Amino acid sequence: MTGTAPVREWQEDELVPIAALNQYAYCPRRCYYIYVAEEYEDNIHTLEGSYLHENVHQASEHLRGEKLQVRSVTLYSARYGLAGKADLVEIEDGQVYPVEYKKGRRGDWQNDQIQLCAQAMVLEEVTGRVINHGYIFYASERRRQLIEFTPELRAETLQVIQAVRELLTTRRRPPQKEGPRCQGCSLKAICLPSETRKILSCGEEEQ
Amino acid sequence: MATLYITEQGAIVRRVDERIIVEHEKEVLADIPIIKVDQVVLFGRVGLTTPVIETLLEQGIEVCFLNQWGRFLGRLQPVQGKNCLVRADQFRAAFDAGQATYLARQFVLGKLKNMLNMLMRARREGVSLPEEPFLEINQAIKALPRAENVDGVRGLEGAGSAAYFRVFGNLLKKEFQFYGRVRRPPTDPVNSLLSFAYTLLAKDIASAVNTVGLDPYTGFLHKDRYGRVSLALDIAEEFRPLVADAVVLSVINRGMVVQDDFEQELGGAVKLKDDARKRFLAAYEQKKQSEIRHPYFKYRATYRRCMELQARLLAKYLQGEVDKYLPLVTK
Ligand code: SF4
Repeated sequence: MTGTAPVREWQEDELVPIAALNQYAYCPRRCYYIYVAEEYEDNIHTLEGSYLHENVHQASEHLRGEKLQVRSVTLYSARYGLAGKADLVEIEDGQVYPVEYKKGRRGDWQNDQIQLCAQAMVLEEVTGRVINHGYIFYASERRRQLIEFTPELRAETLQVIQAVRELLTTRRRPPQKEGPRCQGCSLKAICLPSETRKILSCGEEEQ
Repeated sequence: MATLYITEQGAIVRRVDERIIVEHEKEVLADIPIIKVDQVVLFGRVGLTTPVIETLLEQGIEVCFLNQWGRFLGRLQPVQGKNCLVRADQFRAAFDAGQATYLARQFVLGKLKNMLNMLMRARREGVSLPEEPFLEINQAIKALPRAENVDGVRGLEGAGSAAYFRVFGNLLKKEFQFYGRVRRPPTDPVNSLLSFAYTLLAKDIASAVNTVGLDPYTGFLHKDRYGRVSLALDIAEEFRPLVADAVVLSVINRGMVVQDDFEQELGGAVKLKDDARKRFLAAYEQKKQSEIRHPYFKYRATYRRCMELQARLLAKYLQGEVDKYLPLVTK
């Protein structure tokens, strides 16, 4: 057995799904809907996303040049209480790093980077090596983007892990924040941001 | 996505691959891909095989059981998300006299305003109507804010609806007679259609309410009675004139259903014959899928979506996210 001894035992509801970090960093409320209220509406984006994942997720290993690729790697961190999967882990010249596949293009939010960073943190725990970078493959741009795990990104990731754990255990609903993120959010028809604003701002008589 | 209605007595529903097959004595009556269906409604003696039940539940498709005469018996409900948080808020509100009265008032307000608008529209279209029902419904609307409890609200609802139904018959352009609302059992064709339409509406709103995580059986205006979908009936109030009454009027006025389509039972109850019932179900379904321009949100939405919206907005009110519940009122 390698790796660090568990820092503590995690209760099942304290374990944070790594994918939830991505949702939370995008919008805490969205994370609440998906992981607490279990309201989930598939839309074109999420469906395509899962097809993409199905291809990547056929757990397999194969050598490409000097690079070892392991697909669909189950990740568990006793240290941070994280659980999830990495689409792809590559080992090249003795370096280990995660690669995450995303449909679409890079967004303005740190959400994909945070998810990748958490995967790297788990891999560090498991392999005992420092991982300085990883990649995100954005399907619509057809290329990998290098992501460096800077101290800032790591700190932010830790914060988000904390926040998600609090959300999952308290089950408190985060406030709705209507903004540009709502545009691409598949849960808009459930969350109803603009409708809520209109109701709050109109008088009873106006109806 | 649509509702699959099965009215054939003795029919069997089975699953073949990803399709739903309805058979009757070896003859295939319907063959529909499962992804096209989001609700199945069975009338009377229709059989379901276990594999089809399993698949429907897995796909989150609910099954409603009505008896052969169209009375709602119950439903087969797919597992729900763990949104018990919203239910807790709903139960709290149901026991809070102030909140219950407020919501009861809003449901009735929506219903009465829609009734009033319906009569006004008919008058604009040339139907001659006396002045009294307009005054009476308006009076009931004005008195609503002063109703101190749910019973008071119910009284006003009764007064307003009675005024509306006194002249509802004037909106019929065919030889049908209608002198007022008769329930349990309906003894004339128009009442029979109204009752049937209300059952279908309550069933649809119950499923909308359920999607949102609310408990369909705990209402505010309608007292909890065992087995009654009280909350669905509450939200249905505002939709009754808009959807149910409107469908009844249109099938009659367009001659889609005629006197001969009804038969009288021994006990005096009047019901639709099978063929006409299929036409009526199709008309109801079409109405549900028809689009309106939403009066507050200004986008186009089907009535079906509006039902879910109202359920979601009610949940938001119960969870304290918005400070009012606005019934859907259309001009
Ligand atoms: S609609 Fe907006 S506020 Fe609501 S979950 Fe989506 S991003 Fe968050």
